Amino acid sequence: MIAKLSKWWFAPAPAERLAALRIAIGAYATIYVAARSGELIASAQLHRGSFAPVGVARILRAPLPPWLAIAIAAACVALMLAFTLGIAYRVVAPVAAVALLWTLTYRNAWGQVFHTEDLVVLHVLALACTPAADAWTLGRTRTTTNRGDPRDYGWAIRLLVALTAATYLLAGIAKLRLAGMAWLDGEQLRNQIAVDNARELLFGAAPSRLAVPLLAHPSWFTAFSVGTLVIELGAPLVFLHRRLAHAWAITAWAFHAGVLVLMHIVFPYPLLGFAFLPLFEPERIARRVAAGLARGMRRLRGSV
Amino acid sequence: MALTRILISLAFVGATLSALHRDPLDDGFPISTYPMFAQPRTTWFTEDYALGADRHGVTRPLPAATSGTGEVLQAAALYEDAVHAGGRQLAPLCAAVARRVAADPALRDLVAVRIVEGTHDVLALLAGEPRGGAGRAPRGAEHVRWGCPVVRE
Repeated sequence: MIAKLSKWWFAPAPAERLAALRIAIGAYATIYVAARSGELIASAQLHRGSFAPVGVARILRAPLPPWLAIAIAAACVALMLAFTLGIAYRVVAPVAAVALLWTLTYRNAWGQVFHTEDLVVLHVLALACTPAADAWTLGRTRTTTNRGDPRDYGWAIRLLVALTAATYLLAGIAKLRLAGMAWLDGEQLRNQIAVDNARELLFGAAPSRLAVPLLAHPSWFTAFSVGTLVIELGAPLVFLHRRLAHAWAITAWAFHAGVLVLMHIVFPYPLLGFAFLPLFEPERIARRVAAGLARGMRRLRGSV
Repeated sequence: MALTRILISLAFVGATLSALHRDPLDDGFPISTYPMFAQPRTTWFTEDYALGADRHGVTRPLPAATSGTGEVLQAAALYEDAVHAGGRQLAPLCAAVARRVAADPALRDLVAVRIVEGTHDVLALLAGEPRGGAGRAPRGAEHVRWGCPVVRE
């Protein structure tokens, strides 16, 4: 049994697949932190009485000086860029992952944990512990690239998949632990969606145009509740078959699209597909994009 | 090498699933119990937030950004925390909100900020909201916890 499990976990995969995941997930994290710089600067200057540290930020008894929190966030962007490009990966990747962990944990230390940010941090931390820069690394030519055995890479991709599946499974279990099977009747989800839209209203924003008329039809929410739990508790099925994994990824994406439409809550990591990328073959997508770009460049040169 | 990889895999998956051993409401980051959307809710909802008042005393909800963060949930947590802490936290928060209101041309009709605790029947609140009109619905009971003027130079 253990031998079978080990053989499955260490099944071979190309170095380029793991490298493509490093580039995609690293680029997402880099852009995400850079795009959030306004929010990061604002939260660094919030009233110290509102500081409620979570995770690694619990080592602090009081908030950092704003300039230091902002400097760490800026360094995080630079480090994550180097992570994405694979520069000095063995040294840079762990430092970049810790910088991301700190930056986003600190942002979450002001009374509200953003569940939209957990998985990207877990993925980056995991990637930092893997040989994800053995291919497609800046500064290395094809001949100097240090590609190992294909068995060196499959486990890392499975680990990313396992982390994605685990987070959805936990979300499903939390619903059963907190509300029990009553969660399935749809009333709690309906109330939650109503509360969320009301909160939008109380903070000067418009509620969802679709949610408000839908609240008058409770039976819809029974279907939504059952669907949500099936998706979340069914996440471990992604390990059974590739097609099942793809089908799960599409339905989980649709779930997040529904959350966006009904609650105006954006989960960018799954909505943009990055959370589900380890379930696919991103190196093929990257090659197609590169080939398309090369064709475009040739046409452009030909027309000049 | 294989042992190291097994240990890394077990450490990450084990740490993530360790949330199962915590109280579901004892959330963390990035090891979360994912309590969002899981807690039982009724249609009655109590929230702390800020209102802007014009010179006729007519109030409307202020955008989250006037709290110091554009994130609605974080803004709600800031007001809740300040209301629980009382005047020593409400006074500087109200003053900071008033400064942001004064700097926003879209809020130039507002002359005062009120931080309130409101209790609403959310279905009634949403049903009373005209399409596209944020904050025009009749609101439920609101108790003012702090107030301060909007000072413009």
